[in-house]
Amino acid sequence: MAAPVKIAAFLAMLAVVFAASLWVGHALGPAPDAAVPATSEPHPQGGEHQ
Amino acid sequence: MNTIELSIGGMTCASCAARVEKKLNKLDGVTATVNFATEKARVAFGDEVSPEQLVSAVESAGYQAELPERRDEPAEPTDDPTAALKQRLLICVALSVPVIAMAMVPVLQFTYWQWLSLTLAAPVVVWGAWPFHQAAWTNLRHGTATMDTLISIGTLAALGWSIYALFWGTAGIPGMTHPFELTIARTDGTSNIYLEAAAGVTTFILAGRYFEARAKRRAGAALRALLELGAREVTVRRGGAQQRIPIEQLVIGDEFVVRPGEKIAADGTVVEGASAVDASMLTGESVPEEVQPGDQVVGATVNVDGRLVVRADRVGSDTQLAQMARLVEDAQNGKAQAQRLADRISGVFVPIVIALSVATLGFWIGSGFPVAAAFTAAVAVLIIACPCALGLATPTALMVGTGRGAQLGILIKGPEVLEDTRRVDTVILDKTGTVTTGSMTLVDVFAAEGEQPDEVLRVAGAVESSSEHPIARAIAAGAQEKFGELPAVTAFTNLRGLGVSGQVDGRAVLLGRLRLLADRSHEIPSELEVAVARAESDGRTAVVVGWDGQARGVLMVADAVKPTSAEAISLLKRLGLTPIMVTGDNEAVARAVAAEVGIDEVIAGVLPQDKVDTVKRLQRDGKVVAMVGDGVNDAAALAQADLGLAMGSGTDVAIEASDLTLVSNDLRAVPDAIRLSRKTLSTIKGNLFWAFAYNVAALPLAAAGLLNPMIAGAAMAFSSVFVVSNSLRLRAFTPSR
Repeated sequence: MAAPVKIAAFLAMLAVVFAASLWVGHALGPAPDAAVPATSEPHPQGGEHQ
Repeated sequence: MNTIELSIGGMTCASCAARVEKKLNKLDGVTATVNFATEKARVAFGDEVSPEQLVSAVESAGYQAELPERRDEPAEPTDDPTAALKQRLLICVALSVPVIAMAMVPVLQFTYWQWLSLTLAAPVVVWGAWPFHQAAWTNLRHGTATMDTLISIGTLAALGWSIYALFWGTAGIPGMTHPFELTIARTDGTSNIYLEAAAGVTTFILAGRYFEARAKRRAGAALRALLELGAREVTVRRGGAQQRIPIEQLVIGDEFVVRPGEKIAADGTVVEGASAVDASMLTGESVPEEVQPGDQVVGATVNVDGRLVVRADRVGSDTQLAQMARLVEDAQNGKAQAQRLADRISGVFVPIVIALSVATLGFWIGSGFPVAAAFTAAVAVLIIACPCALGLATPTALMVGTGRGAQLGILIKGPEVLEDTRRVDTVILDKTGTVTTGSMTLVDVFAAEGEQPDEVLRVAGAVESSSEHPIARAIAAGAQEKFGELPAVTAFTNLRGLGVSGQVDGRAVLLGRLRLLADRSHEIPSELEVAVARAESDGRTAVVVGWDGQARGVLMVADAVKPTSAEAISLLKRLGLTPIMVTGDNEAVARAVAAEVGIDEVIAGVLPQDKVDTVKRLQRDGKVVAMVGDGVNDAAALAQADLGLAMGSGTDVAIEASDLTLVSNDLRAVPDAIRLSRKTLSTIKGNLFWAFAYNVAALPLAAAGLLNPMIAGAAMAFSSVFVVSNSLRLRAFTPSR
């Protein structure tokens, strides 16, 4: 398979994966207020301030 | 057709070489072969294509190409090509150590530590890892992924995220620290930086590449060593005068003078003089060949004792030496270089990781989380996917394995070699110098009726002690071993090419071939004739000794089998390998030696080029072939074989063309080398597994948004420590000797 075709196929596959995971997240994912993978709060728990 | 040799840059693996070759061969009338080991492309092209077009074709594939420079002077020794890599590595080490230390030791995290980390890590990731980024880009254009892709994605994701966290997140706030906690808790990605992972991965992998490059550099040396065997200057007779000219100016038909001790400049025919010619460096045969007018001589062989005048029949690229160089080069070109194991794994791993990262992004967005939060988790997947220990897995095992090998006299050239040792099922052994000692030894003395063998040996040894010929030395050594002091010799005469004569204890002694004694009117008893015939059919050299007009005995000299060869063969068989012996000798001699050491399969009467064909034939039959040899004539077969092993006593060319060099001449080093290589390979595989395993185990945490720098650091540290300690186990390898 030529490289552009291979890359296009891979990108198409990524689009499918993205769409599927969007749906899975929507159907099965936790509610945003229950748990947060990361937030943009100003005072995070991971980093500490001296 | 024109032929040109291009230097190719930027190739990181065998598939790069295949790509360059494909790109060149697409041009009209172009036939190209690319050698990954020597980083050269040999291109034959017609007039419709210019060399510049060839260069641009290579460059369009994403690699660099250079036309050969025309040199009128001898080539300057080239700089160490690993020097640039070493410099890059040292700078990266100096910059990375403080970054890793500050990230892993909270005490060192002073108020603005994160900004110093960025200052130190950014050049490492951008400049230090530039070769990886370049290779990743080239791979991307060809729709493939290798270890470089994984490193490039991982380090750039880590650096990119850290810059985002420092400038737009909260990580840049003065006084921010990374606490030393391995707790799994949801963290704010924008307060975390992963600069130590980015810098650490780059430096570790650069270190691995440096050690590999050092091993690879030697691969191109075989041809240089071979061509250096030839004479550089020649004394030619032109217009009645002798003049010294560079070898390149010698033309066919020139008559040139070869003084004793000089190398013969080109293939030709002897027109004047007689001498012994030592061809051992080409053929491995230990006995010099006597030549006289009309005989053919081969360039690069050494004129031992007489003055010769030779007419050049073949010069330059037509000589046997040049043909052998081509054989070696063709074998190297034809040999498929194994793709690095880590590259093969990465080829599958990279698309999976990218897909997982996209899936993570989609999942968290789909769940209703902010895009920034989803993006944090997706980037964390890319960061953790690049195992730091990936760079250590191969080089540490290789360093410990080769170090242990060096202690045992086994020199392993590179990681690709190890791949082949696993699959090898057939071992081809060259007879002379490998199974046998390669030097002449007195094996038997036969006395005519009424004579004592001891007396025959004492007299013969005395006369031969004055000669420098290898057969004479073998007889003299045999006699000295038995009697110590030998009687004095007077009136010693060397009968060139026939034998020797001298006076011992008042007897006129004559030694030589049977024909010499017959020609000198010596009476030959029939039992001596029978003994000579039997010795010769057994592959032994028979020297007849006579005095006072009668032949008195026969001394049999042969290339003796090494005392450890039989044990080595049985060890090879125990490893599941089939030993096959190849030799230029006749079938009977070969069979006798093979039977003595326990080899069942023998291929006799083969010429140097036939050895390559033998290897190729076995490979066509589906065998994975290891070749053990020592002579220049073995070089092409050593290069062609899936695994080439050169005996340490062998020529530089054989050593350079091989994959493994055995310092000792003990054949038992061969099974040890194969065993050690297999063990090193299985260690590398174990290392790669664990290098990936720790990081793969952390992947779900990253995807769940639970990754923090300490978990990334712990995965890095645990996998690195495991890989190093696993590699160190190779130090316990015990040889069978």
